[in-house]
Amino acid sequence: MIIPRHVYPIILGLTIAWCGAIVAAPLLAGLPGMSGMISRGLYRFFHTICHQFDGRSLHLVGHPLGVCSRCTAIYGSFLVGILVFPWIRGVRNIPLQTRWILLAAALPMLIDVVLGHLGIYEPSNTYRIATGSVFGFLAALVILPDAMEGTTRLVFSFKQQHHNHPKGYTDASKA
Amino acid sequence: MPQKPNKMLPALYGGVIMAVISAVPFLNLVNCLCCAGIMFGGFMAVFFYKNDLREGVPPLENSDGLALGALAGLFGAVIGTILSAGIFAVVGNVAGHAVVNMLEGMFGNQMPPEALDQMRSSIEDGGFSFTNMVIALIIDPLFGLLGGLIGFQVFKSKTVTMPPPPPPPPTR
Repeated sequence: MIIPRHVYPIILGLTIAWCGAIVAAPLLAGLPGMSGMISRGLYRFFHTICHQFDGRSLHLVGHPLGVCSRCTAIYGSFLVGILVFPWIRGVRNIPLQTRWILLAAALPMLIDVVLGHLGIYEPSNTYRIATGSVFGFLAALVILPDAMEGTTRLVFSFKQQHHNHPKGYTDASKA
Repeated sequence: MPQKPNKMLPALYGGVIMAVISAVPFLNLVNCLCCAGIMFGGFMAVFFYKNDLREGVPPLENSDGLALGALAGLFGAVIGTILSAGIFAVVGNVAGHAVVNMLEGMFGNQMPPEALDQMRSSIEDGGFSFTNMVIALIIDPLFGLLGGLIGFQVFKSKTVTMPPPPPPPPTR
């Protein structure tokens, strides 16, 4: 399937916007007026997907990022994965054993989370970032081709349906 | 060629799973791990859809994973917001209180007072609100879509379906 050129930049742009919002929350935090309100809105938004514990977060200009260190690592490395994708997979479209890669990528992070919650050890931010980065980077390489192809297929089938039933179409049999 | 099955019902099942995980106290803490519960709903929607696929129907495609995950996310956002508001009205934010009490016990003396205040005020914010619904309508389809794509990776068929062989030439 031929994927239109603009699909990759759209996905890249959305990922940059997502990561930008995570960084923007602390940068706007100390500012008065509208900036402060946007910052509070961003913290509120990211609170639904992350615990935002202060001790488990990276800080910028004295304020925690929008999400914890593990989530920051996942989203940041996901963005890096999308950025380097054209050089790693896009050029020759290397086939990957995707199921096993996803499992292998998630395993260190899951072990880290489970052992941490069981109280067997207290993972440091370094471990959280390392395991989250592995998962985010490999997940991007595995998911991106299907995200691009799937989006193209969906848009194509949507257009095809609307082409078959253009605006103003009336069924003569029902008239 | 037979048509593919309808996506609505598997997406609804996935959305209900998503909503229950997001709304039930303590179970919703799973979502602290990058919305694992929401992604699981999208993943399960693909699983249910895959079970509906019969022989001769076109195989599971990545666009199916995308559509099922996003649809499950829409269902999950609406059902989850209503369900969590109902649970909040009945029992309050029990999980939130438990987590804050635990953190105060563990790190209370190390945490800045404003961070503790912020945590205490955030656990009161759990009822039905327009903001909660809007946030859920953004987050759930997005992460449901990722779960749907992961589901596609797991459940896609390994073998390529071959077209039926041409009929033999007529014999006299």
